[in-house]
Amino acid sequence: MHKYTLPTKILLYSFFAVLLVFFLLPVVYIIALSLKSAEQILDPVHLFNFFPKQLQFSNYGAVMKNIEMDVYLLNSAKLVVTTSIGVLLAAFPSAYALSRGKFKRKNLMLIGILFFQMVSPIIISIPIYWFYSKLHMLNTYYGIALIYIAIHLPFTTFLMKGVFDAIPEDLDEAAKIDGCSRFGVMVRILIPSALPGIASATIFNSINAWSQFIIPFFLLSDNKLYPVSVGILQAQGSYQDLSTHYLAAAGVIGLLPAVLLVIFLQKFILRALIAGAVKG
Amino acid sequence: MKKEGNFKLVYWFLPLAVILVFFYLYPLADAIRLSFTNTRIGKLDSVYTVRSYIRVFSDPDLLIVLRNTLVFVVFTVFFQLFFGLLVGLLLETQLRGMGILKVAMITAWVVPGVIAGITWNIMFSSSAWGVINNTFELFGGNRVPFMTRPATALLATIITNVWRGTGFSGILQYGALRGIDPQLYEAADIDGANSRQKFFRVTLPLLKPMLMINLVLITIATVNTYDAIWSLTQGGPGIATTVLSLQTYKSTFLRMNLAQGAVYAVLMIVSSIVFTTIYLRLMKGQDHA
Repeated sequence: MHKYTLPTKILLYSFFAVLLVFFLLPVVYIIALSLKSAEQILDPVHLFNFFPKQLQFSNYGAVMKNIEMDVYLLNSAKLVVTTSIGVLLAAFPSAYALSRGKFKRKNLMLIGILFFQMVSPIIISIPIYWFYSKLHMLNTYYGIALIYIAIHLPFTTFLMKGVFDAIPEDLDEAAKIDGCSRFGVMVRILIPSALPGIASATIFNSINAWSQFIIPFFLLSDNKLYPVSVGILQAQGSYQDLSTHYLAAAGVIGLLPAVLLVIFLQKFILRALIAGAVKG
Repeated sequence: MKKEGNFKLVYWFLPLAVILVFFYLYPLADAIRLSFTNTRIGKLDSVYTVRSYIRVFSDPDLLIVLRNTLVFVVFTVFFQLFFGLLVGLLLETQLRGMGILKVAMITAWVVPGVIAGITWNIMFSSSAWGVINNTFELFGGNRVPFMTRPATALLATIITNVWRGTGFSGILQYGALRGIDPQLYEAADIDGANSRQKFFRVTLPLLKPMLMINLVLITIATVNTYDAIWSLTQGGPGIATTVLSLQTYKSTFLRMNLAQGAVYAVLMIVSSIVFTTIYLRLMKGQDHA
């Protein structure tokens, strides 16, 4: 391990302090703001004075009731669950074939799949809006969930292929000798051995699905179906300049699930990120 | 070795293929087709024409939007890489407490874009809750009306996006740094290299492949950024922070002009390809230097 001289250490820790404030301040600040009363928010804040004097937790209840945050939360939760399960079911077979199949141009195919990952939901949402309106699928839960699954599929396929690759092929062979079909091998051998990788993919997809904004914002006009990311714009519209503490509370409700996942399940997220990029 | 004779690949790829065709391949082709029509939302008949392209390219706003996009992408990508590398290096020092930086950085990264925009909008505000302006004043500086001036509004979008995006780039850089063989540093020590030489001769060259991957991924993600800008500035004041992605939305869904929106969508695809190609060229060029 390196030994650092004192001046070097001071320099390193000043970088550390500046970056730490930069990354954490907005999150800490919005939480502090969300707990203030209407009078307290008029008291000018600065970097060394932004914590609330009394904590007003009732802001959260007010937001839930007044702008239907509870409905949005439920919609988001449903979309997250449907997406993370649906995308795995769609990704497993092709990830298996990419991992165990021997065929020409496999790398080309992987690059092709990843290319789709780069296409913005903005671009595809324009034609999808057009054909969904003809199929009467705009403003339907299943219509939106299908697009969510689609936009998470390329990366998940790629990730699961890598996870399957890491499982020794001897295990497949042994199961095949015991009379397992290929599908049986995938379901009974590969998927159970891939659970940590599946957990990584699921957490990663959940965070992304929770944050997804463009698809519901462009394709939904029925606010009973809005997820939190879109519903919160209602809060921005109604609370800006009048009750910023309510807007902050709505923001905290939207960011807390993702932030808690990071704090408790950091390792899984890091694994998904690094696996995805290193092999790309 | 047994041949994989009975492995019917087609069936295994079916779910992936069907979904990609319906939600990516067909929409991509259709976006290009729509860009050559005069389709409007709520209007049934449409004909094939290049008028949407002519309208978009003769619109004086286009230059401003492209300039905004260029400034936004170049600065965001540069600072995401720079801070990402800095965090990676700080984590690699293994000094006490540095690990918190990793959690802080990923926390910022997972905050949904819309909420990131709302949060920074509140922080940049000129009101009592505008923590940035009040802190400026505390240190004797002037208040800056960030959101009403074109240059500062664009700066605000860049800062917000750097805040969000650095986590991703930092984790990738850190992963690459950890992968460097410690023996290489020992060898450099034996050769009498100082830490600056070690950084530029050992660390940076070995990081280059990851920096390149990172650069391409971040650039494309930045061109595609929509949510944080929308909730931060809505593209304003005027069109000062309207980048291509916002212009695509405005044309399609606010002006109901699907065809012109599709033209902007095509421009987004083109700009992703252009940015990526330029970077890859630049990186290649450096190899020969």
